[in-house]
Amino acid sequence: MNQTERGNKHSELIKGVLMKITKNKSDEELMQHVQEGAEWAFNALYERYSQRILYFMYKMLRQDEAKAQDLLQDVFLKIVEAPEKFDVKRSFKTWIFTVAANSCKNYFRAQKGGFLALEQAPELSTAPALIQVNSAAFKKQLNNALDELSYVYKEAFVLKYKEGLSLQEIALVMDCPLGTVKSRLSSATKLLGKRLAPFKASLFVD
Amino acid sequence: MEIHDLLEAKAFEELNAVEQAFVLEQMSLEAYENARKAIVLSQSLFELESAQIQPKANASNKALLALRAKNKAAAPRQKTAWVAALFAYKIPAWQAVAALLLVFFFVRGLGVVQQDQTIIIANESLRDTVFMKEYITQIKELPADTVVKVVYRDSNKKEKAAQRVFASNHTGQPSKGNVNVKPKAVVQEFEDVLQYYNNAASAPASKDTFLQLMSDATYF
Repeated sequence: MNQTERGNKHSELIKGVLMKITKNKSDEELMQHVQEGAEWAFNALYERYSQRILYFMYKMLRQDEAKAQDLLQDVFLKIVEAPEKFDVKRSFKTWIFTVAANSCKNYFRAQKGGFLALEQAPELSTAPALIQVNSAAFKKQLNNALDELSYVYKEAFVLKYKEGLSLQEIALVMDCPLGTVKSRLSSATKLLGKRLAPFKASLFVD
Repeated sequence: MEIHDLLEAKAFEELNAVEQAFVLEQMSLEAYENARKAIVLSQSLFELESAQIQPKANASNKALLALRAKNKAAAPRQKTAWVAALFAYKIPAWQAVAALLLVFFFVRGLGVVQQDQTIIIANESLRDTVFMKEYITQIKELPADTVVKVVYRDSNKKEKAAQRVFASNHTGQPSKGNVNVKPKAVVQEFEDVLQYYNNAASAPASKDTFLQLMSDATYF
């Protein structure tokens, strides 16, 4: 066994021990430790949320992975720089998604002209020609349909059907009333439904 | 019941009668099916894409470095903060009083223990000494309300009277019994004492002053 392998084994072992320690701790408890400067707690939170936040931002930034990676670093940097801003009595999940959503909004605001009007429901392009449901072309078509949704519709849709947040949690993230969230979700599903009507419902198979 | 949850969870055929009625109140069957299809396909796309997109291996480095720098900067502050917190810590007055009483009785208890230890040491050093103790061997029962009067008497009264007589004789004139004491020797001794006093004292004294001092310091 060479030194690199031993190093990898060692780091795996440490990772395993940390996993055991942090397994039973809630996000809020971990965040409390981060506020006290605990690196292990930060790593645990990063393990739990980095992938989810990255994908959420990837979708919100119209599949711009490089930008999503940059903003992911910024989100966790914000957590480290001002952890005291988080109230441990509240939900960490809604807080971190709020930080991520705000980062995306700020990015679009900085990119003048690249931001769709928040509440404006766009005119969807006409139904596509016959495309196989499990093809790459269909994935692209679906992504286009999602991107054609207004920013807030897409945000509500992704938070609900990808991240599994409750309507109340989405209302907190989007900083709007519950009724508004319901209305945005209804509009998003309705628009997407219309757009995808010509296709037969089928799951992607790779 | 929430339409968005139903859309995600069940196809229209899988809904029970109540749920179907609830859905049909809000949208048509076709709209439900289309919306559900959009959700199912989107979720499938999300799963597929999210498995392919992973954070970069060093993505957390920036934040970790910032955290370490923050910890390093906060370390000396934490020490002073600890001391400050110690002094700033407030407790109720009754707790403070209770703590003081506790300390008082604890210290008092320590004193008792030390006293006991001293007694033990004294006993050890006097182990060859014969102690006599008087024990009460007879108990006399007295009727209730009896007044017991204890009278203390000076047993050496006669001896003290004799000493006083001797002192008065000695100061007045030399006793005839002291025939062996030569006046010159007495004078010489007096001179020596005066000399010693003058050497020792900061201010020299005359013979009269010295005699006055002697008479003040001596009981005649």
